Amino acid sequence: MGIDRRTFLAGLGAALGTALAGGLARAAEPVYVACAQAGDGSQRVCAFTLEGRLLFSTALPERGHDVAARPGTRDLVVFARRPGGWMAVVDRDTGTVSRVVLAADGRHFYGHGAFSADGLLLWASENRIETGAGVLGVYDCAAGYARIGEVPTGGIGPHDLALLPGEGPPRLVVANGGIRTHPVSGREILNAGALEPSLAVLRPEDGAVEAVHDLGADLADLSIRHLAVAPDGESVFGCQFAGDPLAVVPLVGARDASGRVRLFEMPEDDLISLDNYVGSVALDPSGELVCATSPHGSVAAFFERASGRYLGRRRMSDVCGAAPGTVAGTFLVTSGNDGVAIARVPDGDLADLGAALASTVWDNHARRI
Amino acid sequence: MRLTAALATLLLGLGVAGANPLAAQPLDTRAAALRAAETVLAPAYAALAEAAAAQASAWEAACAAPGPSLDLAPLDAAFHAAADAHARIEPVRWGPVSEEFRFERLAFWPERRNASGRALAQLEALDDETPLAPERFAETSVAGQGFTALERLLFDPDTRGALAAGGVRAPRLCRIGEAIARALAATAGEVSRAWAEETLPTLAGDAGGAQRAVTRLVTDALTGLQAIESLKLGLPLGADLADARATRAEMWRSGRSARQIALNLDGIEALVDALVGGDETRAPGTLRALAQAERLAERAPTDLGEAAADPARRGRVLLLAAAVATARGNAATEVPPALGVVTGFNALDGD
Repeated sequence: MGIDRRTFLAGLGAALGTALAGGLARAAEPVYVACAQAGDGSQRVCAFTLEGRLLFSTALPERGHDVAARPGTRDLVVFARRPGGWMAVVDRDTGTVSRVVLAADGRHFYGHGAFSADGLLLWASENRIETGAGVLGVYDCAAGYARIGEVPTGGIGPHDLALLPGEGPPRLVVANGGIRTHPVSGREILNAGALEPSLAVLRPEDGAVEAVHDLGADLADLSIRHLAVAPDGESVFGCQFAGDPLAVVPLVGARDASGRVRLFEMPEDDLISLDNYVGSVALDPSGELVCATSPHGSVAAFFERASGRYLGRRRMSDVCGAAPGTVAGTFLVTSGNDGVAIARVPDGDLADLGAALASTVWDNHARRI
Repeated sequence: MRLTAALATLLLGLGVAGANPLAAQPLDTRAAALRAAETVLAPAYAALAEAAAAQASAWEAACAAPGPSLDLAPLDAAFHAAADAHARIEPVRWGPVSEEFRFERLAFWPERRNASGRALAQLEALDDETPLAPERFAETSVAGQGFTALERLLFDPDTRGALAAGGVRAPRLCRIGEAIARALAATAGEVSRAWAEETLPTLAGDAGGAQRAVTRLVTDALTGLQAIESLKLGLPLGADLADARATRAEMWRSGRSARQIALNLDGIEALVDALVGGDETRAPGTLRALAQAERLAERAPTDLGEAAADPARRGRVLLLAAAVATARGNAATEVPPALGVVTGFNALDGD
């Protein structure tokens, strides 16, 4: 679980020079990046194209989680899976690791991060271990990703976060999962039955918490975990329910730019098939359609964002990663045992991207870069 | 419960620590996939199709029989035979059963929010034969279809009593049972035919597909064990005695809760055995632990849910849960490397 600098670097030794033949010849075609486990059991961060071509596969010392792309540069930052001890800066073209940043004393990463629009700052969701308070670590990208401060997230167990569009000082939306954990007990929920999930809007420059939304007492066990932000500033969120396993609760919702929060409805059969668990949410390239994946239910569900109307679902074993496709109405979805596919919404079968990507165990998230 | 499980693992002495360090070459995955498909999967779906068809015939005969009262014995026998056939193959989700949500239409469990009860009540209250027509019934809520709904219709005292007594409700209830049984037979038949006509021939000619099939089948075996542990046993057991819920056991009305588990384990054992080519040295801890768990399930109280909530008998259910946990742990350690596959983990621990 814990990892120190020496073991990380030892693990990384194997990663040097991992760009695959042809990987350097970066085409103009869309590229996706995701963490994965290779056939030999090693943990990786990989980039690939929609033709199913692997561009690089860089070894990581342990499971990575999400990846964020720094605007205007070749930097990708891979975050360790919670309770994570590191984040790694990876070249988006070659996969070479240029820098490793370890978690600050008394903090660990939760697995997600977001850049400022100008690419100068990186915010990472972190746990202040002693108190369990959620914070965003603030990193100065140009100064070698030096940690220059932290701001509270207005909740505990922050997970995903995203930059909201707009002029003026940057504003972030943060999914405070509400689950308290401690590295000593790993991923065990220490506040079961008393979760405090919320969706917070922050101004990281001065640490002001602009708004905190909860979903009400009835949904207190509904951990808000993942986000996708539309061009109009609406934040779509996906949840995981930690209460009675036989309860049936909404799992996807949205907060619009004015602060109105709504939950998306689904037919009961379809909602039950998500098994109280959404692993990722994504928007299609138009920003109008929503994809929510459930690896527990092996289902990807789709919605029209403006109306919240449910558009149906597709079955894909162990599906979790979701990212925008290349054209409106499409998503890229990844699985731990069923490869990578393109989903066309509302109709159309999943189109598999081929055997080269199918032999890899894709981890929780995928990003289009 | 975790402590108990750990303790029982020790007591059962089935851990894989010390398993043969000289791991043999992974098996030929194409041969493994074909073996599993030809000797376990296709025959199991054929058996399910046959038993489900027999069950549909039994309902048709019962509903067509003259006289006010209904003889439930043939329906009971047909149900148990069909449910047995289903339980043996239920853990498998790969293949034609995963298409068109057939898996859910065969059995929609665990029941949430009394979904099957509500769906059945709606079907009964509706003064309309149309939704019961074979071509329409598949479109109704899956909660009102499959083994979960049929078990409830046939074994819940309210509907069972009404069926047996032959009163005003009986004809409609019989038509609902018939519709469920026919839909089950149709779905099981579709799966069996797809296996024979598409899946088996494709598997024989596609090495890449076979690799993926083995990965999925191993995942299904592990997920199936997880489901037995956390749902079929975990739901009635609850976190502790105070949290135990007898009616959260699967098919508690028909007394099949433990039998379902024993047959699930039997099916998983057959699948693993076929995948490793009957070579016990490939997955020794897994096959031993599965056999042990199956023995415990066969001897477990038929009123498994009641036993989970009974201080005097709860230990037996916990012991079974521990044995299943051991089998799952051993399988997770042994089976993927024996077959040279890596299973996905999103379903186990997404974040």
